[in-house]
Amino acid sequence: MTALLVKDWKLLKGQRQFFMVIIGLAAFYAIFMNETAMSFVVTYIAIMMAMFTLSTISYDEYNNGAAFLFTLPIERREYVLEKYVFAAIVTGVSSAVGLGVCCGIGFARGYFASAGDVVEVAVSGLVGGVVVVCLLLALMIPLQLKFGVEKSRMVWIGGIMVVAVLGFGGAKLAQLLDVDVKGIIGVLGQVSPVVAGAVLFVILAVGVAVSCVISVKIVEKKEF
Amino acid sequence: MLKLRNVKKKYKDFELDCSMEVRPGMITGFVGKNGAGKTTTLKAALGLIRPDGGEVELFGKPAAVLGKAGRTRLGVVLADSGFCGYLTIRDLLPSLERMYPKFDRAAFLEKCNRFHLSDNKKIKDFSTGMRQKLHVLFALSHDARLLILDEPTAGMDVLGRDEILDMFREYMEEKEDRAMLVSSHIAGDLESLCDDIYMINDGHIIFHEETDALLGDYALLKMTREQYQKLDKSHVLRFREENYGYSCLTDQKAFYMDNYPDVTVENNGIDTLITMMIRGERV
Repeated sequence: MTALLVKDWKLLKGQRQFFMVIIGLAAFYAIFMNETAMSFVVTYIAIMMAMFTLSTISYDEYNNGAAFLFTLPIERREYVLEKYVFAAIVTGVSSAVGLGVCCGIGFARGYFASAGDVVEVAVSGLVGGVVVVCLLLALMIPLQLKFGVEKSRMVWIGGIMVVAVLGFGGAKLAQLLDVDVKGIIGVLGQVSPVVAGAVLFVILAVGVAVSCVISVKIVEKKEF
Repeated sequence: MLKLRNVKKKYKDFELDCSMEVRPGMITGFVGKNGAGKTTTLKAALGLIRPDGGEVELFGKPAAVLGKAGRTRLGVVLADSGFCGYLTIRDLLPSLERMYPKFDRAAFLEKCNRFHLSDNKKIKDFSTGMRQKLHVLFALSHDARLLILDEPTAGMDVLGRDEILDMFREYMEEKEDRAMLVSSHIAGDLESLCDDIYMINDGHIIFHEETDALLGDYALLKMTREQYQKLDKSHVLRFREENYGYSCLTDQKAFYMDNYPDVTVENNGIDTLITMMIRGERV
């Protein structure tokens, strides 16, 4: 797997302009926005890096390159796992660096009155980043492997529309069945952050694992 | 080294049913018109497509269980695919060294330099011929036992092609247990390189012969209609009606030279063979 990680790292290094734009925007937000933008910057960096992981699949498939790639000593399962591992490494490292820089700027500008403020920014930024990145990658990696870049975008848009319709339909159904949705949300709000965090972690971990299994099956069945 | 037994693959408008063998120490040529099934056959051999039936055997084992170690013994050039175009040769090196225990970095870079392949230029910016040279040089760089090469000289000029063909010969001479399966549209390349040749048409192998026999025993006979009527056709493989009369493909050149001195006998090349085998009629 290290050979593939090195390959994607080299691809990443080749996209310097893309990263300059990300860093520029992140710096703009961090410097000119208020303290609430700090957590947003961390989430933003994580999402951009996750998008880059997806783009490495496109680079691999550029000019039918995946066919040649799979003649090399690489297992298809290993290829898929590497994408998830690479995403975890690049989003994790870049978020951590982003967080460090943001906290530095925050201290310099006097945004943080106490250590608790720093923890709040760090937790909200990292949780937001982890949730969005996990959902994004868990959905988009199998879609992109199955349909390619263009079609996967269409499927993604279609999927969002289906979710919206289901949400709207669910709300209507709850109304018809006289379900106390606000009450349920109120109860959920009383759950301790630790329990909520643990539940969220389990849901995301299961989601990513299922996504990974589906992606492996897609690539193992794929013909080039 | 490589065996395909009744490998079948069905598409909407094409069906492959192919058997062939590449033996150690041999360079096997693979010819056929565009769309005949060459690339599909090679992709089936490499596991890039899943056959609907039949068996593919590589290094004495079913190809499905070849694994990573087995793949390090393969050198591959594909006609329509290659390294990621967004990487440079220099970018590729650390990954290739990790994948192939016998990758010879110094020799590979020396050859890239000899062929003027810049190691810090993105591969997508190479010309078609340069890209193909890069893939050939890589296939020869890690002590592969079996080379599977689909149109390896595509896009190369005559000098580059000659140099690459010489490298193939040298590579085969270095170790006896190496083998090569090579497809090409350039018949001259195969005639001078290959020990035996398979021809495929509409997904089926229609011809297999050793190159020496092909060039020595096969011939194109040209004759008038009257000569054709009197000809013993027992050694005629295919015939075609021409303006001047008939042309016939035979695998017994000496028989017709001895018995029909008035018939024109032309030495056969692979191009003629392809044309006659595909467009000619059976007697």
